[in-house]
Amino acid sequence: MKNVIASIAAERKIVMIATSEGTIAADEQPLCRLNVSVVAEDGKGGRQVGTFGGGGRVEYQYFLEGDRWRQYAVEAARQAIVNLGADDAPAGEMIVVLGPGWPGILLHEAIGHGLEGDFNRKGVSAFSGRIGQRVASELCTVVDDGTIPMRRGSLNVDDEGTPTSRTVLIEKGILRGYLQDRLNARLMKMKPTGNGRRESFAFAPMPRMTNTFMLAGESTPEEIIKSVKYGLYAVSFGGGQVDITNGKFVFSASEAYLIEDGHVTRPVKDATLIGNGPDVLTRVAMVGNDLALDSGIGTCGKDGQSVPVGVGLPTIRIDGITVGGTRA
Amino acid sequence: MAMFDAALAEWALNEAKRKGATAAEVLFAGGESLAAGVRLGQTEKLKSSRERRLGLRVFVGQSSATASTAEMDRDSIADFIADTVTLARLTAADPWSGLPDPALHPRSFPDLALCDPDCGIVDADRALEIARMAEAAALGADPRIKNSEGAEFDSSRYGVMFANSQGFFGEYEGSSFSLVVQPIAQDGDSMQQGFWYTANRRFAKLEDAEETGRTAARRALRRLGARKIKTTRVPIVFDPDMAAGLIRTLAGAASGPALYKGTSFLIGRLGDRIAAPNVTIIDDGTMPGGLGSKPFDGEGLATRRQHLVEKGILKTYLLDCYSARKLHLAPTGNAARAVGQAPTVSANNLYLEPGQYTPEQIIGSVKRGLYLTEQIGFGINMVTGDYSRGAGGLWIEDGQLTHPVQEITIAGNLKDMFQNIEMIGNDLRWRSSVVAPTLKISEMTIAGA
Repeated sequence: MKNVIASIAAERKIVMIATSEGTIAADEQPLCRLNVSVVAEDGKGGRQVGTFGGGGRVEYQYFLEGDRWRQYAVEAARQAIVNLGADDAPAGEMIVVLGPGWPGILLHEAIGHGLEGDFNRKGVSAFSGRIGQRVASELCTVVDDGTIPMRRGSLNVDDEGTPTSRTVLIEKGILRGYLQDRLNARLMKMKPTGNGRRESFAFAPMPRMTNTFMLAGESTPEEIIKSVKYGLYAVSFGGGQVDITNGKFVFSASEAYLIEDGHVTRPVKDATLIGNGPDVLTRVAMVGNDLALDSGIGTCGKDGQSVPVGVGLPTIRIDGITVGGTRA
Repeated sequence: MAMFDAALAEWALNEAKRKGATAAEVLFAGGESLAAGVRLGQTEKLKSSRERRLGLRVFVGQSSATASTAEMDRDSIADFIADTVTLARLTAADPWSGLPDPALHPRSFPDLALCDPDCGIVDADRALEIARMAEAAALGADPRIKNSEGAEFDSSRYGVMFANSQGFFGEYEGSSFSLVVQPIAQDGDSMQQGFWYTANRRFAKLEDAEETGRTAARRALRRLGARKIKTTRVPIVFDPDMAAGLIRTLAGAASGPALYKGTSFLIGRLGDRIAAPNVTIIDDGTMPGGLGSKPFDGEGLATRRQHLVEKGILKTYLLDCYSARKLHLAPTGNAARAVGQAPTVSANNLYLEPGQYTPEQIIGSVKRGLYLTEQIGFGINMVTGDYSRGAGGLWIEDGQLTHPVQEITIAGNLKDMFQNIEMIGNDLRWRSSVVAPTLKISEMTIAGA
C-alpha cells in the first residue's frame, strides 16, 4: 500500500418539528461513518485504488466492536490489490450477477427515484401512472423501510414529523406504492409515507428514500453463479445516477469478475452498467437467499440536497444489462 | 462594502492570539438569494434566504483546527475562538500546514466587475414572471411539449471578507443571476426531458428568457425516439457542455490534493505531453465579469491567468499552499474555501482554447460516430484514468446527425482520450466558469445492445 487515507465523520443532529396543525415531534439523530481509501502499486507502474467504509446511526464504539475498523481497512486493501490485476472490462449486453449488499444501489437508481411522489405528481417519471402494473419479475419484492434500528437511512420521524414506515414499492413484480412527503401525498390524495426529508432547516422537504432493498429469494448464491455460462459478477460499486423521465440509469462497478462456465474467473476493471428502470427488474431470473444491507456509506443527492440513505440486495441474476467496458 | 465589519475581523484575529494561537485566518461569507420556480404556469417554489457565517482557522505551531459559526456577537465569538484553539491543541502537528509566505500576498486587487452595478436581488414577482415567460415559450414551441418540470429564476448577491494574522486583508462582493428551463417532450411511449440555462453576473447580460425556453424545448424534442445501438468503436464528437466536463475532470486530476493522495493519473507528468498538440487549456481567475473570477483565492493569494496545458504539455498543477508544500512546488492561486472548511483546490475560470473548425465541419468529418450531448454517472477512475459513463446523443452517419441514441456507455482511458483529440471547434461561449468548444476524439468504445 502506497497511500492510505482514513476519515471519520460524526454528527449528532437534534431536530424539533412543529406544524400549524399541532404536530410536535423532536428527535435526536446520531450519524457516524468511517471510511478507508488506499492506493496500491504493483511496482511496474500500475496503480489502483480501493475503498471501504461503514457506519450508521451509531456512536464511535461501533467501529471498535468486533474490530470493524480493521475489517474496513483490510477490505479496502484487498479491493485495490484485486483491481491491480484486473483485465479490461467487456462491452455490450450480457448476463450480470450482482452480489449482496451495496449493489442494491441498482434499486435506488433504477426504481426508487422514479417512485418518489413529486415526480409522479407531476407525471414526469417513467413510472408515472403505472401502479398495479408489472414492472419486475415475480421474484422481486422491493421495500423502502425507514424503521430499521441503527441503519444509516433510518429515522424515527421524517423531517415533517411523520413517523417513518415500511413501504412496499414492488410486490412480486407488481408496482404497489410511491414514496411521499405531505405536500405530494395531499396533492395525489394518498397517505404520507414518512419520506419527507430535508438536508437541513435551510431547505424545503422532498420525497426521499430511506433504506431501499429487495427481499430474499430461495436460490443460493452458488446456484446463481453456477447457472451462468458467460457473464459479469459485480460485487462492489461506486455511485449511480438516473434520468427520471426516460428511466435510464447507471451505476459503476468498482469490483467485478467474469463468470465463465459457471465459475468466477478473472477480475475486470471498473465499468459502468446502464439500463432502463421500468424494464431492468423484469429480467431478474434468480434471487438469492442471502439478503444483506450495505455497510452504511450511502449519500443520496437530489436537487442540491444530500441525505444519508441505505440500500440492500440479495445476490440476483439479471438476464441482460449493458456493461460499459472497453473490450468491444 | 458594508456587508461585514472589518473591525470585528481584526478583533477576532487578536482574540485568537490572546487565546494562544500562533497564527489565524478569519473568513466572513454571506449573502442573500431568491429562487422562484414555476411549473405549468403556476408558482411551484419561492425561496428566499439570507445567511452570514464566520469561519476560523487557527494554528498552534503546526497544529491547526477549522470551525464555523453563525453567531456574530463578540461574546459568542470569543467562546467559539477559545473552543477552536483548544481543538487545534488536540490535533497532531502537520509539518506542511500553515499560512502562505507573507511575501506572496498581493498589496492591491484588480476590479473584476463581479457585482452588477445596475441590479440588486430581483424581486419575487419579476423573477416569477421571467420563469413563466421562459416556460411558456418552451411549452408553446411544439405540440409534443406536453409537460414540464418547470422553470426557475435565481438571483443572489454574496460577500466575502478574509483576513489573516500576518496582515492580509481583502474583501469583495459578487452577484449572479440564472434561469433554468426543463420542459418534457412526449411522443407515444417516449418521454424525454430537455434542459437549458443561462447564467451571468449581470442581469442585463442573461440570454433572452423565451429563447432559453425554446432551446430547452428543442433539446427535449431531439431526444424523442432515442434507441440503443450495437456495441462498436467509433469517433465521438463532444458538444461544448460535454467537452467542458472533460477539462473539468482534467483539472481535478491536476489538483494538489489528488496528487499528494496518490489518486491522480497525472502524478509525475508535469512538463510531459499529456494531450494532443492542438490542446491548450487555460485557468484564468482574473477575467472581468467571469463567473469563476475572484481578486484573491481562499488563502489570500492573487488569482492569475495560467496555462494548465499548452500545446499538449502539462504546464502546471493547481495548488493551494498545503499541497504546494507537500509537492515542493509554489501555490498557484487556486485555493478554494468554504466557511468552516480547510482550503481545497479548484480551477477559477477554466477553458479550452478554441480551434479553427465550425461544429458542422467537425460533425461533417465523421462517417459513423456519436455526437455526445449527455452523460450520466460517475464512472471515472482518477487513479488509472479509466473512463466509462452512461451516454446519449445523436448518431452521425456520413457526416449528418440522424437519430437520437440512449442507454449506451462510452468508455476509454482519459490518458488516451486527451491524446486523441483530433479536432477542436471555434464555438467557445462563456456560459459557466468551465467552458470548452465542440471537440472530436478519434475513437472510443460504445457499449450498447
